[in-house]
Amino acid sequence: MQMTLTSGHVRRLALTAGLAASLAFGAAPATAAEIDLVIENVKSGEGALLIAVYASADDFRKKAVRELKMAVAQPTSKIRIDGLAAGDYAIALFHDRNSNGKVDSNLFGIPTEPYGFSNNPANLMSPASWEQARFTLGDAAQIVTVKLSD
Amino acid sequence: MSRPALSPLSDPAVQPVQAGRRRFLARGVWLAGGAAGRSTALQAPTLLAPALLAPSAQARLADGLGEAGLLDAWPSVFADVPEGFGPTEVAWSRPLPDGFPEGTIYRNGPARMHRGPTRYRHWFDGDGMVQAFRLGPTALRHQGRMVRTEKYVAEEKAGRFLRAGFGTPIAADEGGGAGAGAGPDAGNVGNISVLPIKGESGPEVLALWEAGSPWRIQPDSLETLGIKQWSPETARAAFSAHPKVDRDGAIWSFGYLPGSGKLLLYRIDAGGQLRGVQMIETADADMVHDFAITDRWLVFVLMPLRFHSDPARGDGSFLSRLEWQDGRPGSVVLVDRQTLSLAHRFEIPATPFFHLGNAWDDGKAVRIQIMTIPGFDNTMAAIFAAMAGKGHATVGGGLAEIRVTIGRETGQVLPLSAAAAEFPTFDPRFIGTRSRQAFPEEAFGFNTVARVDNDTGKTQVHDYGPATLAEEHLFLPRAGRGEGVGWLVGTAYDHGRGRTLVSVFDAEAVDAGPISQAVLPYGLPFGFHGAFVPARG
Repeated sequence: MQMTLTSGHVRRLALTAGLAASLAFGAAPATAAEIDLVIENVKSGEGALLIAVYASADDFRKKAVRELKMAVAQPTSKIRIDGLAAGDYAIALFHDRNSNGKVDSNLFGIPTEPYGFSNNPANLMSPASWEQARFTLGDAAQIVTVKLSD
Repeated sequence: MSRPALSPLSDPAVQPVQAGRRRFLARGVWLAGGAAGRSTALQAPTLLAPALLAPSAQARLADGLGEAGLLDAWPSVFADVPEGFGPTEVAWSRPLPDGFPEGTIYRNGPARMHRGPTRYRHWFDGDGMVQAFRLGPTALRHQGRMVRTEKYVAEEKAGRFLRAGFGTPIAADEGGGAGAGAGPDAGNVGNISVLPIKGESGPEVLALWEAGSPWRIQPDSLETLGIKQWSPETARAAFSAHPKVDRDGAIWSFGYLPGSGKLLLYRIDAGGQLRGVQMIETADADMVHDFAITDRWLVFVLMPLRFHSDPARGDGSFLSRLEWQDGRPGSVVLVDRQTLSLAHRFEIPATPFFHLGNAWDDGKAVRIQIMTIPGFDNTMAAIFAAMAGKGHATVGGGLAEIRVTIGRETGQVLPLSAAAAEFPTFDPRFIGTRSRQAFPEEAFGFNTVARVDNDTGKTQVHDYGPATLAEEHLFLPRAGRGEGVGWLVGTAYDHGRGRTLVSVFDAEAVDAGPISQAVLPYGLPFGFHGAFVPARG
């Protein structure tokens, strides 16, 4: 089942970040594009999926233009992210199984909850870089598939 | 006939080897002590080295394995490896002697090297298989089973490799780049060693990788039970393939994350419970394979190996992002066992190696036995060549001893033997202490095993023959007897027959050849490390 930002399953976590980005571009762009995000390998129904959309290398993994929380559907969860200007983006997300609102990690900082990045880079020893996770959003809707780690 | 070069410890800080010692060194005799040679004041340990290579044999290997008909040995042992072996029972050529400790040697090593369109090209790449060699009085029972890691299960389902190996990328036309980033465990092949522990509901054998989680293995069925999680904060953190079991049964280990500049330290009690964990920051921890313990310290010998964190560098494999930095020194780090804090750091000449022997504090210096390799890059090149069925240089290095003294800033690396060897081990009852010691060794591509007794200067060698390659041999102590008294047990691959041999030596008479041997009806893929577990009850 596809859910949208406006459904009751989703709420914005960081309006400020989103608003700041919107303001930077002036009013919401007239040609707002959409991402149909498909999250694969969802192995449990616990908790929620937390999603962050980044719009620049400098802000990657630091300051999102959009943060979303959505209910879990197994084995694949889908969500539409709309209202984005055309441009470059990267997505990072994780499955907040224990609903504590943060990604749990071990002493090395490696997530111990399932996570993933856009483009599914095959890194083992480090998180994705902006270049690896970056994709270009045009004016049309785009499907982005992220596979959660085991 | 060329003689083997001394290990490449050319730094001026290395004490020159005295001329009078050279003959001993060339024969592979462990000579520790100061400039006076075999000093009794610095009593040197006994060395038991079941795979030292005679210079003549080494030259032959370096000239190319073709003469010995071994060029295709490496590819052949990894061709068509089944999902498992056995259980297979084979009679010993002679019943094992009285006092021989009944039990099981568990070994681990890469087994699955190709799948779909991809063939792994490096020995370290393959998915692990745990093997049990159950040493009965009259017969050996062997069994092998793949470690069903998350990677292995996912790739079984996909019908192809999804993850680059240590040394092999997955090409784009083989589906490379399609895997989700998922931390080190996504590439965890669980293929290096084993650690027997008291598990959650009975004895377990952990199949160890070194950059991710251990895998729990049921010791009787060899079934994979799942990942080992010592605690939430160490979940999916690296756990070394060379944990050290102290004399009281306590287990010390560490983990590293390439590029993090950190080492994670583990203290585990004899009951298998995590009792201490600590992160320390240190440079040059991008690939740390082994460490040592003394009664006071955890000892890390670090190399100038840098892991480039930029994923764009290299070909997609781990190895291609690892750079040996010429001109930079190595270091020794001592961690206080009580506080798990970094206490001392010493600079040493850069010393490429994989394995340490024992270490101990002699009251003046901390002495660390090390099996050097001739170089990191050329060792890797030799492994690629062997896997491709090509001739390669011998990759075993020389024995050396590192000495560091508290209060000084630099340590010494003293070459002790030019005889090429690898896979050192020693009498486990004497770990961390200065004592009369035994050190089995075996080398990549080597065909001999040897014992070198430093107290007497006596070297014993058993040559398996030109078409047989020895693997790691373990020392099994004889209960109630002194150090080095017991048996040496190990596998070797007879390429002429395509069979793996399991040999038992009297550790005091290695040169007499095996006192008993069992010949498996198949050849096994070349593995890495094992551990002995005495029979229960």
